[in-house]
Amino acid sequence: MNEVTVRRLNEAGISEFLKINWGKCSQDEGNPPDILLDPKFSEEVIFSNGNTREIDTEATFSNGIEMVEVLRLSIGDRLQPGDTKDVGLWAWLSLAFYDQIRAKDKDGNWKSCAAARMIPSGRTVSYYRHSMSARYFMHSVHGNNSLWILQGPINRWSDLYEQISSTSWIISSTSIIEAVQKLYYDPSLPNGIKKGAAGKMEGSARRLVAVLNQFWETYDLRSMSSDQILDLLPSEFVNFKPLNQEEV
Amino acid sequence: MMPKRNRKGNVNLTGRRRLNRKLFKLKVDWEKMEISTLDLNLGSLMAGKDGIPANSPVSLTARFRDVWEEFDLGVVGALDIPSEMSLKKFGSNPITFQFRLRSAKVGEEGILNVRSAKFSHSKPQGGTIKLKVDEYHLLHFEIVTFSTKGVPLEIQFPTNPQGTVSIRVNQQECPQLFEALDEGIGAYWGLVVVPYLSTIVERLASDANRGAFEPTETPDENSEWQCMMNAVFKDWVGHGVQDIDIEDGEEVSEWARKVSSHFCRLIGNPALAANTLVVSS
Repeated sequence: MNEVTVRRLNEAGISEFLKINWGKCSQDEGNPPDILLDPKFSEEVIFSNGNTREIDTEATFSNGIEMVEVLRLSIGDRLQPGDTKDVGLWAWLSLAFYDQIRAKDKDGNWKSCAAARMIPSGRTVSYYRHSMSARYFMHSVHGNNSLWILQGPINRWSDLYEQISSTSWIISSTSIIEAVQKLYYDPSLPNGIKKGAAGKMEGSARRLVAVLNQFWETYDLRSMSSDQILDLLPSEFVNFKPLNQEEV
Repeated sequence: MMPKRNRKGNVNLTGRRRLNRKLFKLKVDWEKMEISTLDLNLGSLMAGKDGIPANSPVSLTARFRDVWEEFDLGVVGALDIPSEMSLKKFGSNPITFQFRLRSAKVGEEGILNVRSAKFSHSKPQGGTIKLKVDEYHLLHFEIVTFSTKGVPLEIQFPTNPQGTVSIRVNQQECPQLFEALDEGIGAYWGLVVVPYLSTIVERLASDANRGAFEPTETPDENSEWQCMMNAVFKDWVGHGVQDIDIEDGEEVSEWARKVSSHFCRLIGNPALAANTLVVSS
């Protein structure tokens, strides 16, 4: 156990972090800089109650559920989605758990990784891609209906996550996210996602977003229940609907 | 990959109607971070045989990215506007609003009867967003109030020698365009900055021709903006205004094409991004 005070990277720290090789590369090239506790590159975070918080940087997690638990025990569960603006905090947390967030190949080399997965981009087209904040906020807003994004390994970013979390009116809707969970989540699978959910074929998340975008023109989807939304879906989603699975 | 919004037009198989902008008025108090004025006049929607039932629920949605707020405003026939509508959760980010009226008929749950167009409110900004070119700020975006309606953008050249070229965006009518430019989204930079680069190149040629600056001078912090901009362009494409015949329009245009081409390579491929933008809009 190595409990340290939660910090945020400053501009110099983020610049330093950005210098690593984000493409497929050897261990040395992709290793993060040793700046985690260096006051030149970071500062302690004072939370809204005026206190600092501690986090165990040696904590390990095999999936998003465990990662969220580590974060909740440290920074609590009161941060709001708007707090994604705290780029330095989330970049520091990624740096602290870098080894677990960035995937390696079988030879131990780093796989390529978008910087936005480690350092929040702050841009409309990629703000939601941060490996830790995305899962943390999904859990804080949607609770157990976010298991589809939490059960898989933390160093992967499935196309299911990308499709769903990139559409703001979907990601912020309780009933639509509940429908997503009912459609695509299977707790018996290691990554929690049904086969085909992350592809481009019929019934995939990519198709779901396209279909919901059409329905958005005709229905007030956010005011509907998840079952009402599922009932609207066309036949291509039949293999994913919970009732159909029970029949099988 | 982020999904494309490839709608083929706005489907309307349910007789959905548009809430005209004349029927509502909304103002945001950015100091208090709340909606300060909300006037809704929905009486006309209920008139006639196709009128909206008086018990249709009305709501106002407000969003910025994944931050969403929905205000329940009662029903068409008996509006119940909350006395406080806080927007604190949005911070100082631009907020997109939309009024939505749902059907109250049994069997039509969730059907959208009427909606307004989306409209945005941004916190007035006194500052400017600077686009760094070389080590100087030579070009920046600025959001300003235009005196005339309908004009999305304009370019303003500096009136003082060490000034900055400004691409000014209409604050009232194009706050989201400013946001997109500010975020550096390639498609918008391609559509806005590239044509203006040609304008800047032609301005440099014109200013050099009338002796407003000395193109061969090595730029320093006291140099005119034209001198610095010229040095940047020369660095990009290998020749500056001093290397072309500034009285030959074709040569100036060719220089402009090279500058634009280099800029597009610097920011990716804005042509593809712009086309995708058109397809997905």
